Amino acid sequence: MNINNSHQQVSFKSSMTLFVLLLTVLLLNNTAFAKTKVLIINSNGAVPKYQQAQTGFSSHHNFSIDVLDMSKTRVNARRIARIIDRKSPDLIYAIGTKAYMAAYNNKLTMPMVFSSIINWKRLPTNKYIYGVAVEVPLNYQLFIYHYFFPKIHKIGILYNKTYNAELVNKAMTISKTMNIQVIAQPLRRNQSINIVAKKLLKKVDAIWLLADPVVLSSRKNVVSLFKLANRASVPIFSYEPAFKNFGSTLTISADPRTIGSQSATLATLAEKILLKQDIKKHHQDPAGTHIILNLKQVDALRLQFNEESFDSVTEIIE
Amino acid sequence: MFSHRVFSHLITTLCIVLLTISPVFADSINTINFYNPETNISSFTSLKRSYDNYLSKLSPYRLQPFKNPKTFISINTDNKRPILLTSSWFFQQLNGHFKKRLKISLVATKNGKSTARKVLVTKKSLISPADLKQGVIASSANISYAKEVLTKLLVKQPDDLIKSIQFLNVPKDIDALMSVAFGVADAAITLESTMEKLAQFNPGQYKTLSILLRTDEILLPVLSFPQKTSAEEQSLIRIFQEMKTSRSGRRQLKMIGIDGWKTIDNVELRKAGIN
Repeated sequence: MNINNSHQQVSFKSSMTLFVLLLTVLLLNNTAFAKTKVLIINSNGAVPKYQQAQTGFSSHHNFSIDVLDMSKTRVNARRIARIIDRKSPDLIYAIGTKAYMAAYNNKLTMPMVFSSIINWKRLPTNKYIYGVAVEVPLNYQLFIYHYFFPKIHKIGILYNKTYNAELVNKAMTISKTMNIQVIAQPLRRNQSINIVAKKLLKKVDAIWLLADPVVLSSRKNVVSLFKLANRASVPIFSYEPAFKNFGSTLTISADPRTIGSQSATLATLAEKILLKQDIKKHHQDPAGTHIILNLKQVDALRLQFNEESFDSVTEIIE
Repeated sequence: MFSHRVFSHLITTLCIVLLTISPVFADSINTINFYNPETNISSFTSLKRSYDNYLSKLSPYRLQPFKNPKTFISINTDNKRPILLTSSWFFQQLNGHFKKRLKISLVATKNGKSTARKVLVTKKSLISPADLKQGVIASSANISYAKEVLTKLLVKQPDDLIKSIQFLNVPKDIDALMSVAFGVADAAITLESTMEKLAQFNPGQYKTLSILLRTDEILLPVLSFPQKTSAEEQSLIRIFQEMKTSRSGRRQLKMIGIDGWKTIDNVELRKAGIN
């Protein structure tokens, strides 16, 4: 019994010593290699693309992360200010416009990285803000159309001059380097999309759908455009996965998880600002793409497509 | 003493148990397990659906893609007759683990070749590997594989150069190249053939990039079977060899970036550095 007791005491003492040693090592480790504290503000964690961006960001192990999901808590400016104050993060990652504005309105003193915002250029900004755009560059979109459908040489764009004149001019210039002709047809607010689209469909091999608030002003407009194109056996290429339900033949959009991962890389670079180092680019184009190919449409419209491109497809509709 | 009723209950229970476990056996016998750290297959659903649809018309086999190498190894360690579709690099890592229980029966081909080179692509203005210090490299391969390729490519460079580099994992090889073209990354690790695609379809962007370094020829993905193949497995080997002869078969091949399968002998394997 006595032997047992002394044996237990020895064992307890050595366990305690080991525990204290381990704790010291862990504490030292934490101090020596303190991770950057990041507060992720997510506009709505239930939205898949926001969630994927958060996952992509969190897969980087350089950060100690806290998450504020604006859909779960009743969040107002004062509450966000309190949370930022309490957590005192080194950096904020804002996902979506709501999160961006919430953080921006708090007059941050730390760098912020944003992502998953449509047309971020419309938002106020400052020199501490970095971000990843959600729009796939025109050059990349045209390249993918050409790579998938090398026989398509005339691509039509419906657009409103107020919103997209500059973009259309840019597309026309880029297309020349790929042996593609972009034919643009303006649509005024008071014009019927049916009449204008019919005119354009006669001249082109495909339609390139842009994010144009006049062309896409109503669901009715979208349905009409897809119907007319189908009737004319002209495929529609689009920028948003939601259009796959309308019959888009090819859709190219930014991959949300890569956006998150890219934001994490940018955040690491943004840390350099604390060391008064400059970084090359405050704002980046998305690095990864999500491509949906509708094979049903390809077959129905009897389109010839480059089978080599299959390894670049993310999702196939059969 | 069993009454008739108890006996019938026992038989029913036995039947239910057998029915429940039979798919498990069927799965482990009839699955081709796929893992390729060299490319990022972003949609396993499309890949699996397409392969299963194709294979189900010809055989009892199905494709099971894996994202995580640990799960892949653990599942196949318990598998008595694993059939693996992997990159040749990953097969080499596995070979020790499986104690040579497996042999490579087929190797993938592309444009008539069973090997390809990886390249390090940069903007034309970047002229020396040393310029990559603290830079970002985009790749569709998983990060440990990309690091290994980079280590081989930068063998003459100081260790701290590789340590200072960040990796950005992107869904496709072509994304990696475009990341460099748009200034998101400083360099990309891709297949040499991806640069050729860019030259053909986007000459404007192609002209802004250049190949800084090339690896030696690397064996393309391999299909490996247990050392002694059964008649069913022999028939599966034939199905893979004949894939290139039909339109739907060619689509399956293109989905994983190849255009055929061929047999490979020990001399060729040794030449490729696989024991």
